[in-house]
Amino acid sequence: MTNPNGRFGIHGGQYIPETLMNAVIELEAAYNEAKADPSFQAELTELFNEYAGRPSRLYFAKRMTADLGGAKIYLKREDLNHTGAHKINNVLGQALLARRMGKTRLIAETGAGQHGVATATAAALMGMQCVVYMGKEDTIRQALNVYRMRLLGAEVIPVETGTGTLKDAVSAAMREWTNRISDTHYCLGSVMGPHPFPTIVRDFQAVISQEIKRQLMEKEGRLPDAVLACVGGGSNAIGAFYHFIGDPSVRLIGCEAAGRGVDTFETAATIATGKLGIFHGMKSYFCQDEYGQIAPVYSISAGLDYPGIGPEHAWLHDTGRAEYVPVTDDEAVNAFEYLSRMEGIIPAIESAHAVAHAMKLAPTMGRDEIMVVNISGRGDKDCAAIARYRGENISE
Amino acid sequence: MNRIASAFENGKAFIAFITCGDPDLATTAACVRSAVKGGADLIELGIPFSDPTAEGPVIQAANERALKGGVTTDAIFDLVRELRRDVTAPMVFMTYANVVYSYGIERFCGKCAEVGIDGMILPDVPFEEKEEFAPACRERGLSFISLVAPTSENRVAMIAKEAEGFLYIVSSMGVTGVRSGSPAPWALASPRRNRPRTWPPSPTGPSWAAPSCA
Repeated sequence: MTNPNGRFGIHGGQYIPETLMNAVIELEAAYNEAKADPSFQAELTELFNEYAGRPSRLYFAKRMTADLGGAKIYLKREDLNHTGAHKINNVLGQALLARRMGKTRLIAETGAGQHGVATATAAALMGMQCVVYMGKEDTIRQALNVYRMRLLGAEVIPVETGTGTLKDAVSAAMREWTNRISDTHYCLGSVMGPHPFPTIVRDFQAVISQEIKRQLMEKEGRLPDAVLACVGGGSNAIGAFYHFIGDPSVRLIGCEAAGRGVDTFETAATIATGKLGIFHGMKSYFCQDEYGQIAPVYSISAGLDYPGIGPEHAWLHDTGRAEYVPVTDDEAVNAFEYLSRMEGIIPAIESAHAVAHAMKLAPTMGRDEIMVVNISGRGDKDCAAIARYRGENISE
Repeated sequence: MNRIASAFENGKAFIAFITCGDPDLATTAACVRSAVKGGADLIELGIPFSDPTAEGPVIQAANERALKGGVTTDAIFDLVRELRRDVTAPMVFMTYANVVYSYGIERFCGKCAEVGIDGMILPDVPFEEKEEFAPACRERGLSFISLVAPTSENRVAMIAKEAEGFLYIVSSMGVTGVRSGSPAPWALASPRRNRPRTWPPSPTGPSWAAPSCA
């Protein structure tokens, strides 16, 4: 799946300023070396298990299964990881890599704040400096995470340009990286950006599908029939899909944020509404106008509020190996409340997009079929926003 | 000799940068004519992009104003066609890969040649990706202009060898307009060793400031 020039089919590549070329070349070399080094892998596994709390549970959602009356539903509990989301998997890997490269400072973009919190956490753990770029709009939507990052010793810089959301935070972090490369590693949070980031992040997140495969084999003695995950840039989804790509009987379903609907402008569903383009270092699908201007996308979920999708997903879409479906704000909020009441699990609003599609799909499947839904993060951070969505004004 | 080569005939050339449509195309036309009258040897016309990741706050704001004003790639082609009636100075486009890619690379280059554009600078297309764009440029007689940066070091010779039109030397780290305090170590300190010795000529940039029209 990984190919040497960083392409997934026609997608991917390295569309970045010359200023950054040596930095990504150096990163690729360092990563290939680390990947082959058993001591690096051992240290990462140790951190995964002892610090982040891996392996995360594969939980049989008995009440949800009975209620929907179809496929057996298992929930992959990435929300139980330290810092409350899958983001920590990638960040621990990249922080170790950065330290190995002699970097002392991590910069990151964040949407919902989960990747920013994870990066701030890893920086604190390894005694590194940390600066997080976050859209101004998102600092308001996710105020609690801003405080968490500061508490962990990171500096949070609100980005006011453009739409003040995730894409602008990525642009700001890229600009900062061109400004300061020598001591700084850009800890990109999703399977996007220039090669080698989509591959590095994918590899660190692939632990999710590796565990699902083993855990389900122990519980059921077989492969799942479908794996569902939400997709913004797509890191939790590629993590949940990766070790099943070679198993054609497993349906891989990515759930995109449709916002107020794919027939409105207030959507972030890239596969449903985007077209081929080049942005943020990669060729992939992007929401854009006829002249290639990137669209100001919208979703209730700050973590999925991104106008593009990672290049490996674009390729899985092209080849038909994975399906991508749009899920609206309304459907996600309903699923957020449903899983809370049905299983006592409050999912991140991002993950609720996958739960929403599971609610539609499970009843259409047989009782002998198995579905795994990746609960990429926990929903504590979203409670105030969802209350507001329902017209309740609570203060955090 | 093409227009870009003529501009560098005397060894040094002054390049003016103007963001198209900031705040409207009539102003852009006036800026171009003033710049030429004021002695600019080559005009860089910025086609605004929604997310100009290589630009600092000043040009970001110019891009934003231009897009708010409703400027489009087609309207800019019309502007250039109009300017070419009296402007003889070389004009090159400075924009981002997606603006060209979404228009269709062949179609974009065809339009450039038709209206009298001489080349293009795409700051998010490095040496490794240029073959997607450069052949279509070459076919239409446009120069695909390469950039080298303070961090290029071992890459300079490789880039310079295939450079067309002129070689764009990014003189400091970071985005346009922002001085980080770290000058381009190799470009400034050891020009003899690292600078390409032959064609193409090498202006040093980005030394642009606000694209205002006096």
